[in-house]
Amino acid sequence: MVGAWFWRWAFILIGLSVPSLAHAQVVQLTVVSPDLEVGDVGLVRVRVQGPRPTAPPVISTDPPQGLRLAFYGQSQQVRVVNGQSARSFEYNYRVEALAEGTYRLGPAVVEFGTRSESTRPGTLRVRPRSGGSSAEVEASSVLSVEQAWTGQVVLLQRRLRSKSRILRDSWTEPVLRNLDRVRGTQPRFVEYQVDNNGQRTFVREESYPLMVAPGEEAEISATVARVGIRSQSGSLSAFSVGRSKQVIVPLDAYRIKVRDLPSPPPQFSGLVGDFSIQVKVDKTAARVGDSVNQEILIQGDGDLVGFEPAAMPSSDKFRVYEGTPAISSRVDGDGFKAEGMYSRVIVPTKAGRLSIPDYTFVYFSPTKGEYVKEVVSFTDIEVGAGASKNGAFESFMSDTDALSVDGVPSESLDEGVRPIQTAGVASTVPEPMWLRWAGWLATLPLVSFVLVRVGPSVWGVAGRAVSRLFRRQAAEESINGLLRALPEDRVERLGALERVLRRVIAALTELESTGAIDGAQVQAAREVRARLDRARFAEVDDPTLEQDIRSLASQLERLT
Amino acid sequence: MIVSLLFGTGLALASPLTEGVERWEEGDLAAAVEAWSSVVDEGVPSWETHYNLGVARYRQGDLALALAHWREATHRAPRREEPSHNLAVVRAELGLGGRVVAEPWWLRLATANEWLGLGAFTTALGGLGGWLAHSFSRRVWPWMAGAILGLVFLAAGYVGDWQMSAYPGAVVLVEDCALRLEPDVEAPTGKTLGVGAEVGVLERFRGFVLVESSEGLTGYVPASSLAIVGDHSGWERRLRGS
Repeated sequence: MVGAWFWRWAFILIGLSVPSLAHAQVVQLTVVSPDLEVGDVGLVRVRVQGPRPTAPPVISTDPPQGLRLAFYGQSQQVRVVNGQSARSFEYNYRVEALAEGTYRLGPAVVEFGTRSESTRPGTLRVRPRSGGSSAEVEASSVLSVEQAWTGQVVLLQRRLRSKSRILRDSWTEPVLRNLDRVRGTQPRFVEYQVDNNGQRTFVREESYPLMVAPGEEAEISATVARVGIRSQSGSLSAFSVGRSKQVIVPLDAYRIKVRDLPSPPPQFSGLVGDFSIQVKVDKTAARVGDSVNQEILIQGDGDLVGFEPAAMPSSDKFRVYEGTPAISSRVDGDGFKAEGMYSRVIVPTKAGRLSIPDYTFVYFSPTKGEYVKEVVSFTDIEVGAGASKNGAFESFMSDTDALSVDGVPSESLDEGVRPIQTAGVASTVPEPMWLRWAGWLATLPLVSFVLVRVGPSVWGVAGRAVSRLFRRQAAEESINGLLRALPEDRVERLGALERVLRRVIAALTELESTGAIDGAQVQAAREVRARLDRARFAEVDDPTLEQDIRSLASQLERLT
Repeated sequence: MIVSLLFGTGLALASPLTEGVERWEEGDLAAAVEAWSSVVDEGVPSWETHYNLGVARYRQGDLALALAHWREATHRAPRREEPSHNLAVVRAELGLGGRVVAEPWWLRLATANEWLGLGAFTTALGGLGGWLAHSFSRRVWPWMAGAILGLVFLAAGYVGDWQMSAYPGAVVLVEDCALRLEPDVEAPTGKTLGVGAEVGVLERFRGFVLVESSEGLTGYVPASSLAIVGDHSGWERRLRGS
């Protein structure tokens, strides 16, 4: 027999085990929308019951391409069971279907400090888009070349074409393999219309520069374009005039072949592209200590970021101070364009003829498929002796140690830097407030001249044009104007006759109120109006109706 | 020249450079720096003061401060050769490379105030000339063309002034200045800028400045780690205070 002590202890043990059950660790992956079409966005959720994970769970996908999974947010719930709190955490992931297929999602790995737990995997099926929406929008996402060299800059070109006006578009960013974005270059956006025998096509194009990385193949993954177009069958939007609808266009992955560069020659700059080089020296004659600016301009379709020409070493005849390169790049109608301006200051330290060494520039040309070597020469500079002035310190002389400036020993001055200013003022007064307004005040004579002298003629011309426009509109809307331009279409013609008759009745009623006519004419006009309404709304044929309205209009004209 | 005198250096106070120059000539570098630095408490330092401070800081081995002062000097006297030359020298010595975030090109020809003065003068002259020419039945269009040219100069002045106050350049004064994702000292960091790096200021926010580096990267840095061109009183006073 089981004694009472047994049940007492059993209850105690069960009571103690309930809180521990509430603390039991559960990790679970749920594919909230397991059946999607290409371009659809679904939700995947990982639920963790127990202690807080140290980081959002990581979910793998198999195959890895074709889905875009992104952490979307998390939430936390606290439940109290038998006085003990139990927490659960939900991690949400946005999953975007980019390509058709059946995917395994997970297992999701949840980390709790030094240990981790895995969920069971889930399955997601992606079907092709139904409805054939791509007929309304034609989209492409390709690279500008079919094969490229390592280091070459290529363009990712996206194009949308539609018979309807394109209002907006957004693209799922593709995964790039062996392609790197070129930094500091804005993409190019172009929007235009093609008119083909009255049939308009709206085109929107974007171009992004990408640099090809080493590898056998470069790839942009499958992607999806979401395009908002003007459509009569679409829905009304607060943000656009008229009706619009969204069209989803899936795009397949795109690959190009990548070729490795051949073994580089000496002095290879590392640049890949077709370049031109120009050099300039701002002086052909200078004195010792003068600054001679040398500029090297390199332009081409390769990326110049990080490139600097080989430094020119100083010699006993001159010192060289390398400047800061100015690099810019852009994408235009002809493709990617980069420009680098490399400047340096050369300071002659000895009189005589100064020969600047040639500059050798070696780069790889993708169009030629080989390395190109360019050697540019600089004009010699005639260097005269330095100027002697009181207080001036030509700091680039090699024998300046014995010089002094206003008592300051030359060794206290740093070579290469111009000396201090000994004359001048230390401070200026703060800028007066009225100075900002002085510019506007200065425009008063011009503004008054335009308003008073030029204005009246402009206003006069504009006023006459507006007046003509109003007169023409009034004439078109007058009784005779309306009768002269009656439309052919029956419904529209009856509508125009109604406008005529309304004006006639209004005019006759006014005449009746002044006693110029009796009420019979107004009554006759109203009877014609009743026939007109029958003809319009009951579609009764009334062959004399138009003639009667014209007669009433003629009578009115005679009376007035 | 007249315009320049009216709107620029001509309004100078009689506060000569002599005190600092005398200290310099006596070989007392610290006293010379103190004399020139104190000018910021009295008014707006001239380009010569910034230039001399740049030379002094360079001599003290502080290349970043020298760079900042010379940028101030070129901002105030864009046509002077000395600060530009020294800038090239110190940039070469710092060797940071990259694109220099500089002022608009027209401010390398004249200061914003000079553009404003020239624009005001030309616009007023063109407008008044237009009135007179019209009154005496002479040709008006040359005067109008002059006035419109004056408007262009005025626009150059106003736009340049706005751009330099809204998006000025700046020089990093501290070592290992990290670009941060948010204006917060605990925000994640990105690229670290070296001392003397030149950046562009995009926005100022709660003691932080959103800057763009020479490589085109953006991030927040503490305002106290920068010398912002055109804001001489801010960083010079701060440095002296510290």
